[in-house]
Amino acid sequence: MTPSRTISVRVCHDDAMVSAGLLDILERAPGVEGMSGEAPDTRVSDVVVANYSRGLAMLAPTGAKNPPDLAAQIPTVIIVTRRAGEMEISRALAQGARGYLLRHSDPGELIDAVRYVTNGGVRYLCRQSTVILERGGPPANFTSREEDILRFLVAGECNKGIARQLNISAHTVKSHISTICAKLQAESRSQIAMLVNQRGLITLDRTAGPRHTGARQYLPPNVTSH
Amino acid sequence: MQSQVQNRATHVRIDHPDRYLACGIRALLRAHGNYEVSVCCDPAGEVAHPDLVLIDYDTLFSAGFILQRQAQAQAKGYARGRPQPRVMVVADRCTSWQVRKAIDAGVMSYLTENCSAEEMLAALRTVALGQRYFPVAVAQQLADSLAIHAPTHRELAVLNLLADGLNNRAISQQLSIGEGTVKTHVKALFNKLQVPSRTAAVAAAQRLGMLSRAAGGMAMGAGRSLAA
Repeated sequence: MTPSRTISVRVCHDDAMVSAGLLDILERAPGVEGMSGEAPDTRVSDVVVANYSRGLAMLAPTGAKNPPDLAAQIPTVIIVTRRAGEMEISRALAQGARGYLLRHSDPGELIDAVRYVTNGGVRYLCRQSTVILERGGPPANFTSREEDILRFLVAGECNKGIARQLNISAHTVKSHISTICAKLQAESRSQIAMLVNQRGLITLDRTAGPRHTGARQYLPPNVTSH
Repeated sequence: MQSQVQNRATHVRIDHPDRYLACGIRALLRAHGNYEVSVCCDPAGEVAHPDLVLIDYDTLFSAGFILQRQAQAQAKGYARGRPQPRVMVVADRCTSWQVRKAIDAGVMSYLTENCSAEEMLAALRTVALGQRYFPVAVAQQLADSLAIHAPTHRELAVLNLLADGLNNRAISQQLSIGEGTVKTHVKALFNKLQVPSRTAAVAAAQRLGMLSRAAGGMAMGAGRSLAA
């Protein structure tokens, strides 16, 4: 079953220790060759293992809208991250990540993922992320204005404060928040804040990824589970 | 004194649940200097009496780890002049509250997982000599933590339920206390965190690292961590 050819894997992870760990695990596996590298050159590596923001940055310039002849140049990216929000996983998959592994997953899953995607497998999710995706509710489909309001709400702003910052009336903020409540089936604003944090529903400022990849562009992933 | 430490290999046990990180630290230590390393997920090369134990923040307050420390403190080997292993935390983030709690719990060093290899080695060398090591960013957080009025145990319990989106009545039922008592706790929290509202209190608590990850995170089967 093992491929006759050595699979080359480039590790692009921001954390030096994790990067070293990934290389260590890859090098122990037969038929897999790990290399560390800053600039991802897809011609020399079969797979790229990256953290969330770097993985998405690699996938961003060549999105799904590209003509088919460019599709071959999209790197095969496996993301290794701590981000366990269900929308964060969906967002990565929608952007074309081929694998998603949480940091608490078994290192064996990394090797499985590398072999699976190089053998033509579509998507590899670690066991935990499969569970998270299955448990998650339906996509919330927020409008961009609702997302704006959510960013302030999560930070603890009151309606008047949000109204001031967005230059709209407090009444409009109120009606947006009741729509958000309905979409999330939440009863209070603190419950909204909890759900947003837990499910990773909106791209907060600390996320390096582009904002236009928000929840409203959600595509239901064809999840391949293991 | 110093030469003694240099001659004998430092025994390090990595009990970190993040195995990618654990393998990275092991690879680093094997490549540099005089270390015997064992990783919890790999029974080969188990170090019986480690000098140093590397764990993550959550492990520090897990029942298993606390019991293990108590057992070590009572074991004969340690009573005969062998010191308890020194504990180092490698955490996914450093917030002022977490740093303070970790130091209260007796850790010798607190590193973040995005630290450089040089920093990791420097920390290990320092701690092996019996001194504490804190990177600048962590020391700043520690200084900040001294400015916080620490919430009481009960206030923290209320705060965690608040973060799950519960209202006062639901919190009072969960903790078997009166609704008025919950209100008092919430007000005290607003004062201590210097915030005007419940959601702001949760946002501040999250920034400071006061929320236990078991709250909420467990219910959804997902961590609350926001790190890269």
